[in-house]
Amino acid sequence: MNLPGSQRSVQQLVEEHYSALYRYAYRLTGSAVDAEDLTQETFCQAQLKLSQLRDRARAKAWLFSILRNAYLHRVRASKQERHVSLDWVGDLPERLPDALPEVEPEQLQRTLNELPEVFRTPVILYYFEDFSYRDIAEQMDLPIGTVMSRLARAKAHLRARLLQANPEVLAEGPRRGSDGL
Amino acid sequence: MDCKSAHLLMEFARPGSPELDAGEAEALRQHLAECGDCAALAAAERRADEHLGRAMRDVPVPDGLRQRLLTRLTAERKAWYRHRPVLGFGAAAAVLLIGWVGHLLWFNRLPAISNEYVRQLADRQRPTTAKEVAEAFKELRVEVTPPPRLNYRLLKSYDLSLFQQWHQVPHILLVAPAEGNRREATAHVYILSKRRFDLERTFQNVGQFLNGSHFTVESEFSDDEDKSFLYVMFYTGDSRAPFQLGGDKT
Repeated sequence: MNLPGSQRSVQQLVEEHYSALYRYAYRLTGSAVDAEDLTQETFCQAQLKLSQLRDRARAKAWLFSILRNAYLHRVRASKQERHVSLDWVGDLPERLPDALPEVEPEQLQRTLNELPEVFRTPVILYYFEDFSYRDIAEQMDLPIGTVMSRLARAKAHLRARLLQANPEVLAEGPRRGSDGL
Repeated sequence: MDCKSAHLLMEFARPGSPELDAGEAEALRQHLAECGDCAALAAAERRADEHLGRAMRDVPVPDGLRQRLLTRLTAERKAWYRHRPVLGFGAAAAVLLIGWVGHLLWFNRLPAISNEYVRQLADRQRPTTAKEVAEAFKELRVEVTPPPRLNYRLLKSYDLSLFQQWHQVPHILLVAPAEGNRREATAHVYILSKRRFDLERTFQNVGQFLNGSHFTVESEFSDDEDKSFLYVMFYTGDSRAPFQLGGDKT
């Protein structure tokens, strides 16, 4: 193994991406200390593997991918994933209230933590906005259709829990028809 | 375009990251201009996405994280080079160090503390039970189970402390006042989580009891079945009894 990344290149990566990586890590783990650990581990691995980054424009997706792998590695090691079933979740609800309620940070994180990682990751990346569906599919090594389908269910879960006045009633209520994904 | 196709394309029409080609985007725009139902649905979708997106991205980044990252990366590089000595290493390291210090000086902006924050601190009550300490750490966005049998009435401070240079770890400081023949004693308790550390190996390395020149160190696992936490306690004085619930009697 060698250490090909110049210090300057790695520092530049830190400057440009550390905040976004930390936020992603926080949303994945729900813990500030775990998020910081993961961010550190990501940059340490990036420093070792910098020669694998051929296209500088892909640096962000590359770093996010390293971080997700590090996270999955930890989760598997500690067997700490516990989550709800999404069987009850369909597509997006028919109507949302006109005045959307404030989303409490703790409630948002609790709701995210309920999601299995394969649903949580696409929805976080989706709301971070910079990632196209193709990017998300590449990161997760999945067909784009699968990503879209998981995303739709994860979004429905978040909306039912966070934006609806009475989630139980609306979860059973009318839904928009499936788009066939 | 019919409404079903429009619904499908709407999934791809993201403001921040457009996924449609120009032709599809224009066809969708035209449909939305003509179909009130779809236009209302698209607007509601966008509003909900923006609302959730704002909340999702609202994660405060800890102070000093950038510098801790740079420090660790520099340390990792140094460690790597120690194992792979090369000609000119000293000069290269000096140049990197100068560059790094210059970088820090150049980019550092000094923050100001707000009046509101100071007022909050002034109004804050000190936690006195394990449960209250857990709640206090939750405010720091850390979920921990503090040692249950400590006398938290002796609590002086709690914070996230740097452990082994770059790992932020929940830390509790207790101070037992002098009493009778006993001098004032302090105890630092570090709470290590199994999600972040190999606790079994740490326990083997640290040992259950170590008598150092300044502190005695004791470590023990949390009571839960999973042994989720390892408590490492550095204390002064003859024993940890003054810091335990029940005090010297235990």
